[in-house]
Amino acid sequence: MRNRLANVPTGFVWLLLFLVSTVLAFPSVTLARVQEEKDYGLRTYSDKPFSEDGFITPESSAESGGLETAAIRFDPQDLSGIYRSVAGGWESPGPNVPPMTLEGRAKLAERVSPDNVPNPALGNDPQFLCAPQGFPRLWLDQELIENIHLEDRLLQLSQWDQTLREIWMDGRPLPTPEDIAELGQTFYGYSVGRWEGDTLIVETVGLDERNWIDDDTGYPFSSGARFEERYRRVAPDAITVQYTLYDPQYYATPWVGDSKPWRRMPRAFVTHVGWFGLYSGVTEAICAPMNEAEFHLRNEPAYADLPQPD
Amino acid sequence: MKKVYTVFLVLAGLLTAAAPLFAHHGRGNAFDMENRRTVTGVVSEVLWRNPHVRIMVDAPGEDGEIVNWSFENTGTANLAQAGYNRGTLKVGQPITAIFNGAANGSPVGIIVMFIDEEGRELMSRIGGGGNPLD
Repeated sequence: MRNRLANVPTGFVWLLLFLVSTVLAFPSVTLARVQEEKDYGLRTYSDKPFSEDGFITPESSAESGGLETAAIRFDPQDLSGIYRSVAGGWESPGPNVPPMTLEGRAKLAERVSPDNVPNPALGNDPQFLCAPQGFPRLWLDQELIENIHLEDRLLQLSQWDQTLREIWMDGRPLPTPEDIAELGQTFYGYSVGRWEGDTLIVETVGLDERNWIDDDTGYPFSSGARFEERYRRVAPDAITVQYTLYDPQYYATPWVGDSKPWRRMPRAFVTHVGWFGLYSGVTEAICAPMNEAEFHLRNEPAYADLPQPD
Repeated sequence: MKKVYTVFLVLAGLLTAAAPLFAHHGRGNAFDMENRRTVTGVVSEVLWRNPHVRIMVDAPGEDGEIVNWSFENTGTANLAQAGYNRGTLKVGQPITAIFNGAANGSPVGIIVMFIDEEGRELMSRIGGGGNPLD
């Protein structure tokens, strides 16, 4: 006991030295990084980006150039590539759903997920009829999305439904409610984007209020809703996306989502029978109503004894 | 403790990988997801389509009559990313289906895995990283 007590001051001194050296070293690392960004407009990243999400193997990583093995500079304003959300869990903006207004709660009560009834035909999820998933539901799903930068806009291609979304970067304002009254509301809305530092901020309005936000519950939004997305490229193969819903008609406060990781897929992951790209016959993810009807027809015997819709 | 943590991580990863599988189409409680059944026959039809790929298998029933079984798999993209394609299963091919069957016993199921006569895996339910049920 006497010896252990005698060692305390020595250990304390070592701890103090460690903390001081860490504090002194940190600014120099930070300054070096800032200097590089200033010189090149690029960032350096040397962490291991693969093999953490269950989708990418070390082998496929190696095929994409072995990004995990070396420090790589990348342009934080280049989001191009094929990405997939690996957020997992509940596919919604985030777990902190704000209190809903009476009107919002009434709309939510109308939504019946096929997961919550004995016979899925008793639900009213539009996806059950192969209707477009729309925004933000499809973007919150774990489907592949390809970002393509053009001079005046960012294109986002979704593999599911072979859908295209335009995010206009030409400085135009969002359409006003009066504009939308004449243009019409759409499944994927009207989106404009702008860079604030290395964060791409995308605002979307004019969404069809029949869209569900999530698969499981069918959270609604009103026709006046505005979504904000904040994209940040945080590594050569990783983007984070954060969603916020502003909809005072249905939610008492903004629904501020958490940061969701998207991983860029190696080329090998999106190459099938030698054919690279989101779209091919082997991956065609169009949910055609005639295929949907056949799908339900073939499953019909399994539902024969269950409660049927009126 | 480390082992428990590792098992937890593996399960969490598999569940994450499985998430896209039935993200689009609920099943209510039409299928018995707790128990697996087995049927052996020959492939009679492969519908490589969305929302879900379907494989039909002709197999002799208890009375000797041929029963046309219908097995649902995940979507085309998930299967393609797991290395399967339209030619993986061929019409006329002998096959055994391991599946979660309709709760009412009708010849419909959600496939877990197809295996060949030697017991080798031909196609599993999920793509993108593993089979969540094994």
